[in-house]
Amino acid sequence: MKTHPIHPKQLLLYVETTEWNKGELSEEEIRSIRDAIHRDPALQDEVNKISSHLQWINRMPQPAVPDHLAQRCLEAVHRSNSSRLAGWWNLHLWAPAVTLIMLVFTAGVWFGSQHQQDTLPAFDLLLQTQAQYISRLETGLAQRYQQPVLTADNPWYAQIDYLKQSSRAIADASKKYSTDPVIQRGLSLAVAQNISVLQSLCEYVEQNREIPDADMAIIDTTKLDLDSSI
Amino acid sequence: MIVSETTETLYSEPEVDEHELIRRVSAGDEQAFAIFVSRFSSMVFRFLKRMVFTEEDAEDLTQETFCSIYKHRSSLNPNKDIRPYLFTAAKRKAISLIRWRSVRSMVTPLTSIHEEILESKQVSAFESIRHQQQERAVNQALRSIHPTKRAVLILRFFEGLTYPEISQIMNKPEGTIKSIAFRAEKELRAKLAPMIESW
Repeated sequence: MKTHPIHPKQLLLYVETTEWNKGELSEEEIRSIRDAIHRDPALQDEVNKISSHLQWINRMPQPAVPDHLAQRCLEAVHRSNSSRLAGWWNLHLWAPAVTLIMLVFTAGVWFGSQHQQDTLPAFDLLLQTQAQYISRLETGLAQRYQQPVLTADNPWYAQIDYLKQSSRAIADASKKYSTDPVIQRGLSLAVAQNISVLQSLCEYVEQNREIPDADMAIIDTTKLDLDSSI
Repeated sequence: MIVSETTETLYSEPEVDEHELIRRVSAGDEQAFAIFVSRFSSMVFRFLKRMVFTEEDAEDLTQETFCSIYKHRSSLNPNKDIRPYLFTAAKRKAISLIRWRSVRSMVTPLTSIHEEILESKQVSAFESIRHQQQERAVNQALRSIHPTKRAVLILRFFEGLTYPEISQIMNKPEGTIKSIAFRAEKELRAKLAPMIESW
C-alpha cells in the first residue's frame, strides 16, 4: 500500500524550490518529498508534468507593450488632475448645479407628500370611485328634471338613495370581514362590476336627456341584502 | 505636471534608487512620478493584458491605475516594495472590468468569438505567428479560469512574485494563496496540455 503524507500542492512547491530557486520549502521538507516521489511513480509523473509546464510558461514571450505607454499614462494623469482641480475651483459652475439639485429634491418631497395623501388602499379606491359615479349619476338625473340636486320628489331619488346605502354597507362589510381574503375579493369584484354599470349609466344619462323610465327598471337595488348573501 | 513631448526626456534622469524614487513621488515630485510611470507602466500593463486580454482595455486600466496612484501618492511608503501596491491597484481595476463585462454580456452578449476577434486585431504585425498562437492559446485558457485564480496564476508564474507578496495583494492568507496557485496551475496545465505537447 502506497502512502505519502505530502499534500499534492507540495509537489508544486517542490518543483518551484528545486528548479526555480524560490526557496519556499526547508531542506527537511525537500528530502521528505523527494523520498515520497522516489517511492511513488504517480507522484514522479505529476512532478514531471508540473516541471514541464512551468518551463513552458517561463519560455512564453511577454505581452508586447504599446509604444509611448508611459507617455499616455502621464497624459491621462494630467487630464484627470486638471479636471478635478477645475471642478473644485469653479464655484460658479457647481454652486448653481447644487442649488438646482436641492430645488428639484425639495419639489419632489413636496409633491410626494401631496400625492401621498391621495394614496389609499385599493379597495377604498374602488369604493371612492363607485361613490363618485353614484354622485355623477345623481347629478345627471337631477339635471334631467332641472333640479340642482336630487330631491325626494324625484322618481329616481329612492334608487339613488339605496345605491348610496348599499355602497356604505359594502364598506362596512369590508371592515367586518377584513381578515377574510375570499370575502374581500368578492366584494372587490362586486364593486368593480357596479362601477362598470354606473359608468355606462352616467354616460347614457349625460348623452340622452330623454330617458324612458322603463329602461331604468332593470336596476332594482331594493332587493340587495348583503349580510345574507355573504 | 510634467508631460514631456518626447519619451527621451523621461529617461534623461540617471537611474534612481527605487526607495528614493518612491520617497520623492510621495513628497509630490512631479519629475519623480514621471520616472516612476516609465519604470513600472510596462509591468502593470503586462499583468493587466493577461487579466483582461484586450490591449485597449489593458492600456485604459494601466492609465487608471496610475491616476489612482497619483491621487494617493502621499500615502506611498518608501520603505516597502512598491510592486505589491501596484499590482493590488491594477488587480482591483481588472476585477471591476471583468465584473462589468459579465453584467454587460447579459444585456448584449459578447461571444467568445467576438472577443477573440477584438483581441486578434491588437496583435502586432511584427510578432511571429507562433507567438500569436501561443498567446491566444494561453489567453483562451486563462479566460476560462476564475478571475481570482487567474490573478494568482499570473502574479506567481508570469510575474514571479512571492507567495507573501501575492497574499498581500489578494488579501488572503498565504496558505490559501498556495492552494489557489496549485489548483490554478493544474487547471491551466490541463487546458494547455495538448498545445504544450505539440510545442
